[in-house]
Amino acid sequence: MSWQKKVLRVNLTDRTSQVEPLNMEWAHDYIGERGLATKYLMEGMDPEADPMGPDNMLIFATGPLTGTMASTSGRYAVVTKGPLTGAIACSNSGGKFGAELKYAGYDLLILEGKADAPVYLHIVDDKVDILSADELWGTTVWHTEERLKEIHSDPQTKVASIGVAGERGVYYACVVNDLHRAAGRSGVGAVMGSKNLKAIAVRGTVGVTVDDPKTFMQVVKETKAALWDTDGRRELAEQGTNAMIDSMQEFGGLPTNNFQEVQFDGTDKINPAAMVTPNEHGHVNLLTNKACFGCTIACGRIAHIDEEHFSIVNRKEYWHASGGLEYETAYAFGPVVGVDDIDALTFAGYMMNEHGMDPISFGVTLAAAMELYENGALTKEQTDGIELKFGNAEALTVMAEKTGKQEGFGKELGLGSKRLTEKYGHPEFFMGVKGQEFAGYDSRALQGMGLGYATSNRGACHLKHDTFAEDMEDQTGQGKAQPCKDSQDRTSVIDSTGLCLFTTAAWGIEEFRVQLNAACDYDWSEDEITKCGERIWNLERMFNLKAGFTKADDTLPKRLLETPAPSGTAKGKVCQLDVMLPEYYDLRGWDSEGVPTDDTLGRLGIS
Amino acid sequence: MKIKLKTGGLLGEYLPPGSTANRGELEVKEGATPADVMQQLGMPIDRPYLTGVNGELITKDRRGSFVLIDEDELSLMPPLKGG
Repeated sequence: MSWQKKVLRVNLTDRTSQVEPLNMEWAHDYIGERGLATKYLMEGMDPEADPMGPDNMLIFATGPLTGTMASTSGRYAVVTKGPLTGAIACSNSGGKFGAELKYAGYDLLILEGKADAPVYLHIVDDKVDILSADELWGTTVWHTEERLKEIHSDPQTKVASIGVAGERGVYYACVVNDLHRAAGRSGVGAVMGSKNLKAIAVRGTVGVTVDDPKTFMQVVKETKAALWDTDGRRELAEQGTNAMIDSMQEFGGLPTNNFQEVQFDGTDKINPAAMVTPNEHGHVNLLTNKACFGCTIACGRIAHIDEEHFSIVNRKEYWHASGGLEYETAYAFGPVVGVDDIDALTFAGYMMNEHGMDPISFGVTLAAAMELYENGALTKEQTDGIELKFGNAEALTVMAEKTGKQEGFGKELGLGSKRLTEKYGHPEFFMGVKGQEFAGYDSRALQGMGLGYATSNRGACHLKHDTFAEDMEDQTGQGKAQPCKDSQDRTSVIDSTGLCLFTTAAWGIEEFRVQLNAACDYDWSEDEITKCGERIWNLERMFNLKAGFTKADDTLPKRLLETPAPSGTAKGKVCQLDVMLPEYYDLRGWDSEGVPTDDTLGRLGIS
Repeated sequence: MKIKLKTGGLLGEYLPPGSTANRGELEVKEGATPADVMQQLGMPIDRPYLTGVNGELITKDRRGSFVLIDEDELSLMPPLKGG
């Protein structure tokens, strides 16, 4: 067991739903969550379809370990064709929603078509209703979630929803669940909006069943103990992911002012130490940490903003605690836009959660707009009277809100940085891959990261591979292809289990395999589980190739390939993608154009 | 001789008394290497810490041979990932 062995398929055009058995052959080959949803997507839609059209599929997918007693078992993925990139999108979230969907009895929720008016989906176990969302349309994520709990008189209902950003097609709109957890990247929220689907409210009472409870309890006990004992786990719990900002600053890999610099003078004002240091009013930003469902790490931050800060001084609706800074938000509202005002950064984070937007893409898009402004390609008249200069905290807070509400220049920022920079004549200011903006690592300092960015199937992403250890020991392109490829395959497995990537602070692939084998009525060998990861990666690649991507899209901006890092440990270096990419293709079993060979596809069982 | 120390994350716990906000100073013997300093601070020396001296990356294989001099700034950052 452990899989529910059921798929809920909803056709929004017809307003019908049906339950079908999970294809168990696919489940064995693709595990669950990211991998299994990719298989259903590939089999169910044309990769050339318009991502914002009714022919795009939107899949919410749990993994076999979602909702079990394994640590971090709250994960689910949203898989679709992403509008930001035109590539496959796979956005992963925590919170409690994923486990609740599993408890309602489903491995996958597949959404097809488009409703003719705003609707939301209400699921209570096998009772599935498609209901009018007229009163919710145009409102925030935060309002929607609370209102749905009121409407259905059930505070235990778990909600995943979109804000106005998703409704109006912001290319990087996300799906937010449990108020401040998000399937954040690639615009999966915009796909939801394009289907006129405001929210999914779910309540589950079915529970989950594991195949071998005694063994499962034993391996979970052992893996939890191993996780608990690591410095990495304690670091994440006590400092949060933002501890990375000091490391990147020291390393010279911290993208600053739209990647024009690699170190930022203001890190001491926005790092974990700053989050717990009283300001001049005695206000302390950080309140506590928070865990997702079943998590024994608790990396999440809960913060609040100084009530005297300009962003909320007369706005009591924001005088409350909410999601605080993590590394990517600290980077995207801080160094990359040159802002060091911790409350401004926190407010921008509130806006992302309230209106449903990806903070990385928003921040880097704002950074591109600032570079356009400073180069005269944008004027103050075009930016609603705001001085869109690096370091302007007001520009950050105002534009975060305007973009969320799709007002004024916020509509332009909703295009994402690729479309924005092309529109205003400077495509060279776009900092990303395949249309998606970079996370907070400069690949002139972290070479393996550059290869991971260039080859990530969902566009620039730091979470689909793991070459941090190699990058911190060597700043050339030599020897990076193998760990990049291996970690991409490994991550494909982890993302398909229903558990969190951060458990790799202690666990290798074997810890995931033993938990899967105890929970599922199927046993993967070491070779099989490795092959599952490689199969998932290659299937995503095939989706993108069929969607029209080519080798030419596996690249980086000239700024990283030709302009040397101006400071830091990598001063004078550029990213050596030309060294890494051919070796990577070869290791993958792809031809020189980046296309998987027939032998590779045959070995992996991909037709 | 005296060197400056800069740490990140929880590595600040290894700094000598009187240090603040991941910054500190330490008396070390002449000819000390980063590995010697890590040992003096009680840190495990085999971990993949990001190690730098005055902004220069010191890879793991150089931690035991790179000789520090007076007033050098030694940075020791945790091996984080993700975010």
